Amino acid sequence: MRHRVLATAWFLAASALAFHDASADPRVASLRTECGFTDPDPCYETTAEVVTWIEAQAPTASDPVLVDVGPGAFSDIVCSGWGHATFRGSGRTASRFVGTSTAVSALNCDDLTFQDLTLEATGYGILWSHSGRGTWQGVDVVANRPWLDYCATAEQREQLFSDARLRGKLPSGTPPLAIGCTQWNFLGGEIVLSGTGSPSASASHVGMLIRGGSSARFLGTTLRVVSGDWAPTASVPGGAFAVRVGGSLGGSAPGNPVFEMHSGIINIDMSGVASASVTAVDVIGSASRADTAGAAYILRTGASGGIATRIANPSGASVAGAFLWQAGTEPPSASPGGPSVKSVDGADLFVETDCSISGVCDGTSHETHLMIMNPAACPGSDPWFNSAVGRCRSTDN
Amino acid sequence: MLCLRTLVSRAALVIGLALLPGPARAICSFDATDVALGTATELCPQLVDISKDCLGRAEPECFEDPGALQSFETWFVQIKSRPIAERPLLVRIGPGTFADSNSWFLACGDNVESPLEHGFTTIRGAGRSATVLDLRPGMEFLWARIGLVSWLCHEMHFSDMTVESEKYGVSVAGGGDTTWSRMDVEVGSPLTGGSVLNIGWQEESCGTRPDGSPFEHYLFDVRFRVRAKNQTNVGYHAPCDHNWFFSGEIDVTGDAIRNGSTTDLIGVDVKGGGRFVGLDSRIRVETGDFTTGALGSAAGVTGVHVSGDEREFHMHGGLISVDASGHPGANATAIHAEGDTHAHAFGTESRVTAGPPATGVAAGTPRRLFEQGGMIHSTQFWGAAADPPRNADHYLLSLPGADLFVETDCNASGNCNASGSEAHLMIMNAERCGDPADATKDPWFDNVTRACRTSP
Repeated sequence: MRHRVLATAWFLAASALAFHDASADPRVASLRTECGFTDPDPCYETTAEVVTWIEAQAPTASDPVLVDVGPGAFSDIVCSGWGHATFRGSGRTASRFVGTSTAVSALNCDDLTFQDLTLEATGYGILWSHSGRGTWQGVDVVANRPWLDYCATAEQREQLFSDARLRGKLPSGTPPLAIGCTQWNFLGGEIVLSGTGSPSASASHVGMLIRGGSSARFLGTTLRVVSGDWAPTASVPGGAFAVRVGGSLGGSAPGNPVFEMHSGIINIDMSGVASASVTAVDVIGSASRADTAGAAYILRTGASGGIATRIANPSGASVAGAFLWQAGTEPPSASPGGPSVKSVDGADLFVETDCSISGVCDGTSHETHLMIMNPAACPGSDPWFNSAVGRCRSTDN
Repeated sequence: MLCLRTLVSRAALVIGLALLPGPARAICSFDATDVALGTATELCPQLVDISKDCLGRAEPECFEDPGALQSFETWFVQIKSRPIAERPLLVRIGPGTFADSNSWFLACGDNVESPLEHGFTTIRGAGRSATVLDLRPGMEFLWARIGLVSWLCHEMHFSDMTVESEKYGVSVAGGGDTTWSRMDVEVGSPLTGGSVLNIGWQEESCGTRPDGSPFEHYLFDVRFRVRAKNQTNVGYHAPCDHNWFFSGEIDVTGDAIRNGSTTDLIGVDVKGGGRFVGLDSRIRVETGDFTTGALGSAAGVTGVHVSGDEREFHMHGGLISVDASGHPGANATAIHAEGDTHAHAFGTESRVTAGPPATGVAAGTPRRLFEQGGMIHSTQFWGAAADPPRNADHYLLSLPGADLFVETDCNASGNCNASGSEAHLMIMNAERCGDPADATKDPWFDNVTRACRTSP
């Protein structure tokens, strides 16, 4: 803690009045770029000092601590074995914890709360290992990889994000959001993952991976996976995936992954590159589960080619959430005049508005026929089944 | 709408008043360069309070009411350089009602060419209802009727308070990114007078970032309530920037007293360069006590209006509720798209009630989707019922294929007059079965019989 020097007698008198906060709760500490006369004791000017103070307090669930973070930038937070601490910032971008490898690193920490601040790192925004719960309210996370958790056994873990914004890159390899251990709840926020540098020549790019025994639930959230800075001439031969449920990446809890999203939108947009296939939700393994009832979608392939898939479910996992696409004279597609989107049997519907009574939808008639995604019965580039006439969609007499 | 010149005049007046000769005072700056060059005497504090009782602390550490908002505004203009990214500012407003009858005008930049350099300020109240900024006017000047104005300020964050105003609730002028959390914005009530406009959220004097991209505003858990009496009454007006609206509410209610020959009641109005994305939110527009008088739009009372060139509205989850039942003959529309615009709304429920018939007045037309040049991608699966959604003898209208419901009282031949118990999927198709301009004609197509719905 910095020594305070009272320079003048006048200021001594004034500070006697100004120090009305000095008798504040001893379980509250201030973190400031410069501790001033009006900042209540204890006041610290570095993250390391305030972490030392927290460890000395040994906070518990019934005796937690609060760190009041002033405006400015501070170094990263490393938590090892402590918890029951709240870091309350001075505004979403006014208070920033900036690290290189991580902004927040937590190992067996419990009941950490972060409010109204930014976590910024070139590596991982939040790296959470093993047990514990976290709450992130009004927080921005800006990092190449905003979230990674790691564990080996089934432990109590829960993470709650509300009003949060996560901004990351879209590398190949470890996805920028990799959830393997926690019950991850994300309410009313935004996740943006964008390409930078060059896309991989072979590997896929996955925005969010939900693996092991974890569950990730989203409500009122927008998830955008976009080509970003990738060159317009680039191609993404391995494809781009907004969400992958299941799949291999070590350090996850035992069990099967669950993904739920309601009343939000999944937007995967690769229109900034020449060629890329896109998949909104990729479900791997028969025991995985996905439910996106009430969610909306935007799919954009590469500008000159690619296949768009809303739901991929090759192993026949439990997938819920039908989607009624916009009506039109052509099936929904991911590029103007492009091929129809793909999905799984019965999960997607649209109303075609130019059909005849005999089921020919060639633009010459105005009957509205309900089409159902049905690649099993209607293989090929036009996977739609015309429910009004009871056969595959036809545009020819 | 208010023009750039008016706001510039306002900014000039604020700055001019601030620079009038007064008691000698240290000039501080948020930029250390000013101190090094001697153009400022010291660095400004990064944390200041606005309070009912400063307990002896002096400005600028604490601004005491009455007059606290105006004192802060003056100080904010007088300082040499306003907050920058390297030295942001937190303003804590304590509990209580703080009044400023002349609008609270936070001016950061000197010109529209450099809106990104200054701002970086958090204005944080003590709670949604604990801190109230009463910004209703005491004088009848055009700009005095605006509530809170952020003028050329970048990275401004507002939270945990209520703003009360008469004309505009909050206004972002000249650009700059902002966030707003856990706030109420109340416009109009309980005043009895009225100007031409009542708007909850307003963007003025559009600016862009150096790379040409629009500024962005994120609103989390914010409620706008406009009790409108006047010619144009809009909950959220977005002509400039990209707006992200999470888990909030926009509520517009008409009032009996009004100016002008026609009235607009609109929940969200996107035009110019604007874009609005709503997630899990509610847009509600009601005629309330506005029971007579003409509506300015063919769409009538409107939940969402998108117009202009390549403008976009998106909404996912939540509800658009439009209720004109108090105004005989009024049309009612959930989403209205004009010009080269795009609306994208999936997972959003709509409820639409048009005005009833009265003596010499035909009932209004209820529409969920109304394209007049624009393109709307939106579908709604209505609840299963023995009859289509309708207002009295007027059917709900929408776009072909966009609305569906299951009728539960059909027979095998497609007669759905309660004589059968078959469930038939019905699809909106006024072009094929009714008349897109006449809500008295049944617009539904029976997907089972491949014929227009019959219910003799």
